[in-house]
Amino acid sequence: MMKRIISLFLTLILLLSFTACSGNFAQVDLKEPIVLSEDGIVEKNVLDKIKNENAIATFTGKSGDIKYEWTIFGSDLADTRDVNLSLVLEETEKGIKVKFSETEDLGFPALLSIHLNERWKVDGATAFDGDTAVYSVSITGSKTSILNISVNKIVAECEILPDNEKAPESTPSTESSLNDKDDKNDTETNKTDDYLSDVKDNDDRVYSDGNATDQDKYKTDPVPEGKPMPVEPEDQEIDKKKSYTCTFSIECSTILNNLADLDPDKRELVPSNGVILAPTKVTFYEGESVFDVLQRVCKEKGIHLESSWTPIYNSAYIEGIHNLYEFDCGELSGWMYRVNGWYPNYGCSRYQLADGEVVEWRYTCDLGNDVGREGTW
Amino acid sequence: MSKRPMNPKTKKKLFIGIGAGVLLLLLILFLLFMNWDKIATGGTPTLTIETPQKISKSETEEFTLDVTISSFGDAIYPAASMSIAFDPSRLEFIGIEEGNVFIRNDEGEIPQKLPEWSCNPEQSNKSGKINIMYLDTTGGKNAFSKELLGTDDNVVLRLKFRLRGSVRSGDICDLIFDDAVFAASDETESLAMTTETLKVRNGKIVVGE
Repeated sequence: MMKRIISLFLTLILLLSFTACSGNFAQVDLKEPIVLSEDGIVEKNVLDKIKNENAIATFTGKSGDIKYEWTIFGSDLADTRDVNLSLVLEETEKGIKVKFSETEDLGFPALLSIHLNERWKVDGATAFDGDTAVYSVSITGSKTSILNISVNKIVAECEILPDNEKAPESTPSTESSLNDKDDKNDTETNKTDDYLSDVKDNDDRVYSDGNATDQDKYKTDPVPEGKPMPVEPEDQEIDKKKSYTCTFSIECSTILNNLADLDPDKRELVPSNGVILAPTKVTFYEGESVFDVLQRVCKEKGIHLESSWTPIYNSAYIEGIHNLYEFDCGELSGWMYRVNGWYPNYGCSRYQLADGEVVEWRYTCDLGNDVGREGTW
Repeated sequence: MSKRPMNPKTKKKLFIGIGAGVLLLLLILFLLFMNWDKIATGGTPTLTIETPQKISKSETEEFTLDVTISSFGDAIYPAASMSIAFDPSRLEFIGIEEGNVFIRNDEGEIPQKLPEWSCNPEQSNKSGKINIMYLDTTGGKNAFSKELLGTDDNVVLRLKFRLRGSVRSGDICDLIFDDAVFAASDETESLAMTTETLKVRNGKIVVGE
């Protein structure tokens, strides 16, 4: 009898040991962040559990002194397999090198967050595999930076570089002209010509032939001949593998000439030279609109932006930038945008950018008449 | 004096006993090793912004994110505050909804009542920072304490947001704790992010199709 009890006890212990070693015993609590094992392997059964419970699971790891975190949504999982989520992160002279241990595509989108130990003061970043942009990187955090990347396709290795690293050219002449109010008015015409000559040939937009006579369904008057036709934001596909650069600036110098009309509470917000963002070269992706880039630029530069969606125009409407809102400087005041010297007669969500274009956001106090806009809406 | 040889049956039992003991010990060590992280951090209360399921970019309704606490210390906490950074160009902060973590009632007894948190959504949307505060003005009668925590999800409060029209599918909006404190009357017993007596976990809003 005693023998039987002992052998039963031993069998039970062996069984428990075996189960524990095979990893099934350790109950995975999906509500808690799961620390990646040394080999970084997340087993199929864990992914199945995430899928079946429609859970949101977080896996954390560390490379050197940089922490990283994967977030996986159960709703994104279909066919599962063992995946290796471990990374090797290495700070380089200009950015961060990421080496994936996984060699095949994950088969589902996973969100990778890299937690830097200090604030990375860059305007924005993109991950490059050689010269090819592979991931768009969004950066958040005021004290330390978190780099967020949506990963689906795996590359062996990529380097996250600040956006200005791939677009290093500065535009000192344009910048000085905007910073110098007196020069600006004198060079207005020449500047417009320069802008037009900057536009690259790789532009596949549709241009107006000038023959239209009626408004389109979004109340847009006929687009002048030779100007790009509006696109619909919902139809646009953004190809993050194709990145280009454009120049962005934001200024409100017209307010300086109309200070009497300015809301007194807003006085201290107006820069002494009217420049909120001097002309800055920024990277954008194929298919992005002026509004997409404005949002990114404002976020990266820490500039306040408020917009609202206007269904009737199928576009975002810019209500305020830098806490300067429409009507803050009279009833004809508000924000307008100009691309290559032309004020498009449609919303900024419908203007698809092309390489090399120059976008200016300007505050008008007189419905555009004081910033060189001609014609009607 | 000569040593008496051990009975073979007793010897066998002894070996079996030792073998079983060693296996049991190994099993305990293995389980401890597997769960070490949880054991090591189990004692520190953690304040978490729970990441919700993906929010559709066409979602026009408000949605909420739970802010949960894992545990409290032994003290009572008559004041609490937290500061959470977000991107106001993508998210509109609407306000706070009550959670399920109670405070003591005026007599310090059961049943309890829910705390009244205060914040300023308008200011939050301008600054991109949500400052939330609770202050028990009764000197501890309406304080947080651990015996009022449930066994399941302890939701301190819920953050209510709406997506702005500008968001795109794939956008990621981080919600980051800049500061968080549950203050006890004895400062040394307070739970604070800065002194690492309170751990925090940030949340994310991921915009889906």
